[in-house]
Amino acid sequence: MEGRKRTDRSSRMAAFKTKETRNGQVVPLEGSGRSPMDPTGELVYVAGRTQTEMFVRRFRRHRMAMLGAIVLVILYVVAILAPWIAPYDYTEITYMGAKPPSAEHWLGTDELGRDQLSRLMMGGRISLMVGVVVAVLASSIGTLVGMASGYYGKFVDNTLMRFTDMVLMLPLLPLLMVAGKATGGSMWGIVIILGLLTWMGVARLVRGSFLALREKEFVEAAHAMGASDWRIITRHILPNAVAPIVVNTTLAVGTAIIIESVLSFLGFGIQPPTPSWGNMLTDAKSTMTLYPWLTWAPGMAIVITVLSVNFFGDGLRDALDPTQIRVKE
Amino acid sequence: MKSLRSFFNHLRRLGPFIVRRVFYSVMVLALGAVIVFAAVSATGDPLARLRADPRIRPADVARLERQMGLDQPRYVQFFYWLKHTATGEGEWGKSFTMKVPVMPVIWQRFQNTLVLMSATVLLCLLVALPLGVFSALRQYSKLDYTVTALSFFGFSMPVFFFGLILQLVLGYYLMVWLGRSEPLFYTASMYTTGMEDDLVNRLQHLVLPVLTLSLATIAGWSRYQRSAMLDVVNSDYLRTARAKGLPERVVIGKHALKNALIPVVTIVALDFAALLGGAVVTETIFAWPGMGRLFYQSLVQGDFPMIMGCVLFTSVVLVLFNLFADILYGFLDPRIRQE
Repeated sequence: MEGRKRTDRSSRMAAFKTKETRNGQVVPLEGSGRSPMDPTGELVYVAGRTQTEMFVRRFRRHRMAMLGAIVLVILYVVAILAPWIAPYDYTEITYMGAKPPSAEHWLGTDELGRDQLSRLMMGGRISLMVGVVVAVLASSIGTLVGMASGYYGKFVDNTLMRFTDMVLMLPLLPLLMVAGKATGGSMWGIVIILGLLTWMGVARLVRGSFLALREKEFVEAAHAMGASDWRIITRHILPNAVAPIVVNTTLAVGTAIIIESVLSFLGFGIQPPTPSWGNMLTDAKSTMTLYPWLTWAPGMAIVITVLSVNFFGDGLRDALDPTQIRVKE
Repeated sequence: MKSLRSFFNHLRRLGPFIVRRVFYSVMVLALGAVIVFAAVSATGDPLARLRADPRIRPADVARLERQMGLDQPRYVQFFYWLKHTATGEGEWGKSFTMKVPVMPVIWQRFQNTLVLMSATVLLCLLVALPLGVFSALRQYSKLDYTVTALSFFGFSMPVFFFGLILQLVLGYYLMVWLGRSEPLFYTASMYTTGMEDDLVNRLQHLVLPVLTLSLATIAGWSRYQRSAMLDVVNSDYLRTARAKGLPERVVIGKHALKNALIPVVTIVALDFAALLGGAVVTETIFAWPGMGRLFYQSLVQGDFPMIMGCVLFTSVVLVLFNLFADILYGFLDPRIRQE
């Protein structure tokens, strides 16, 4: 049955090649006896490329996505290394009171005289980590629900989808606020709550892919060979449904960062003295007209991060789309 | 006339569907109520501050506890609340902090929210729909790219940060720049005290919260309208309309627009419902005395009946609009009625 699947994929590759020949790069096709013809009757050669190569080429063409990816890498590296590269200890009181940005304090200091850049880096650690963990958690729950629903159909599907609809209809933010207060502001509490209330989109998506894929011949073949449900789900269907899940998980990172910052801003998320970009803005709000730099820094940090995530996800969506024409270079 | 009759036929056939939906809606409300009640009870003791106060005798706290029903087990408290709410007796229970029934307070705050949301939805419709239509008609033009870039920005901007920027720039800096002692656009409350009947003053208070709420909504709706319009622009019946010689004005204005608006209408209905209950952030930042701020304050103060009331009210609005959107969709799109 593995062989069957490979045939399936290679036939798709063949489709790429013929599509590409019209404007594709002219390179001899290694180890191939015949070369496809283009409409003018000339012989056209196409380099054999793996799926990964095609993905990388398509992704690199998307300039904003590349920029987003680079910014994200920088942000995550800075966040991970924050305790070692931050110019000051984020709790250290260096001045008496707030000072605007200067040579010693690139982003100024807050009302208590703590270095704003160091706090921003430590806050980023929390915000960026919450974003990724929540996205992975929500996607995992959503994928499990969607898999069961789409594969088994009938009663299982009905029950799970009605439940999904019900959770979707609940007012999200008020629920998160109440739950956030109940956890008392622990980071893992917030992560679990966010994960438990944002999996519905992925569940519907995965269910859709599974409904379509389980009717395919290669699934039927696997059934005929006596493969177990679990094997069919994980080995045959899931690999074919993974692209939209990856895209959605990426975009969910941005959403999770925003929701976490909103919760922390309102005082029901991460609690001070642990800094997060959201609760830094709570402190900044009351003194905004006096010390505007305290508002701009964490706010712009959120915007830049989420914007990068969104561009990255958008590029990923285009690059993972198998119907895309191959990029010539 | 004919289409109206067909719609009523459709409604009659919808009967079982509506019954089913009402059943699910009640389930949703019950699920929401149980989750929120469990979470609210876990948020802590609303009398903690009184207990910690050495000037208040423990006997008095115990008496209050009995009055509020807090000495009962959790599930008894829940059914007590349910009884009050379902029968309407006692108007959804008494607020712990305000000492008045919950329902009238929510209703009064809801009207303030309604003002804010109606203005927001109006602005969003006026901006988002034309933007979406024109960027679809001129796909890949400069306008299209600009709108796309701006909507990415709108999606990535947290509401509260945008609100703070507006307060700082259009509220404070603009006031300083104009050399005024009073801001041109106010950053808090619905009106200046003593000027309740001054329409201009009310509008000055309305501008910034409406702008804050509009950003993300405009970004979403214009994208949605764009893709709906793109679907229609490439359809066969538009080619037919052009082929039989209709002027472009009629092709786009009548044939295309009518069909491209259908999916958007349902999104607008659903988002409107979400706005009615979920403006917690904007209302808190701008001190707008609506439902969202009421909920925020109740949660901070641990006012159980008020929190439950707000969540229930919001859920009811959401559920009703969901149902409404489904029916509206069938009314607007005859293809759905056929099935």
